[in-house]
Amino acid sequence: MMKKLKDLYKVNELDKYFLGGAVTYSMDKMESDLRIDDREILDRICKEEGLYIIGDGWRKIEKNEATIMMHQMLRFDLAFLNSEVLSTEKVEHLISLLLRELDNNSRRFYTNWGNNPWEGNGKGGWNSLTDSTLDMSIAIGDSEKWVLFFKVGED
Amino acid sequence: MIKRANTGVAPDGSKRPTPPPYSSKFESSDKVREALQNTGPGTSGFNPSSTQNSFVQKITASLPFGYGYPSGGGSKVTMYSVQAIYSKVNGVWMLKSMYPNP
Repeated sequence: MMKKLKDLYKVNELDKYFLGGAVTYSMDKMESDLRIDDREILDRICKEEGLYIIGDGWRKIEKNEATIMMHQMLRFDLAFLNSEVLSTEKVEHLISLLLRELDNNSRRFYTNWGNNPWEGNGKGGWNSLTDSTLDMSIAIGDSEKWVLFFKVGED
Repeated sequence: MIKRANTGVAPDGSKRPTPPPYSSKFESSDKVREALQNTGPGTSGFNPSSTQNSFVQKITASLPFGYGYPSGGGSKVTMYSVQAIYSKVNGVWMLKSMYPNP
């Protein structure tokens, strides 16, 4: 059984900084012992949050890639990839708000994108979680909790 | 376009809380055609994986595709790039949005 712990987007008033969402969910011990597939967990969170279920569309990434993508998706606009919308200091602050929900162990990282568009000359493919023109999500899990956040973009 | 740049209200009346960084338009229908012919299925840069349902492409040319205004006001910006976004609907790739980009 998964339980929603916090709507991080509302609690931290993140709508001041980007359009999207951010939530944290816990898994009970039995569920973590059963080793349910990460993508299934993420799909369950998406279903709860009214987002599209993408299954294998979740791509597992390394911490380093996730860190870079998190910074870039918050710092730059999704529709105009070269346009900075938040300072790096503000981005660091937002990321610290999101990640403080997790411990430092067993972190797993996923994204709904097949690549990082800032490193692909503005080109890339993804699986949409929303009906927005663009959206990008990073999900991070530790042994007991998940944080999933996403940003939407319109031209 | 200037209203969009300053208020976030789109041509269809929808509004986002903050305007996008730019409000842009194509210079002519020929430029729209050029952008369509160089993006999307069948073009060299269009290579989504079979599991993906959305794809974005950016192309740049030596002559401008259009122009735009930055949000909150400012001078007209000539735009040499285009960003095109496609999504797969019932197995068919469809254009979702396409706009000049600085």
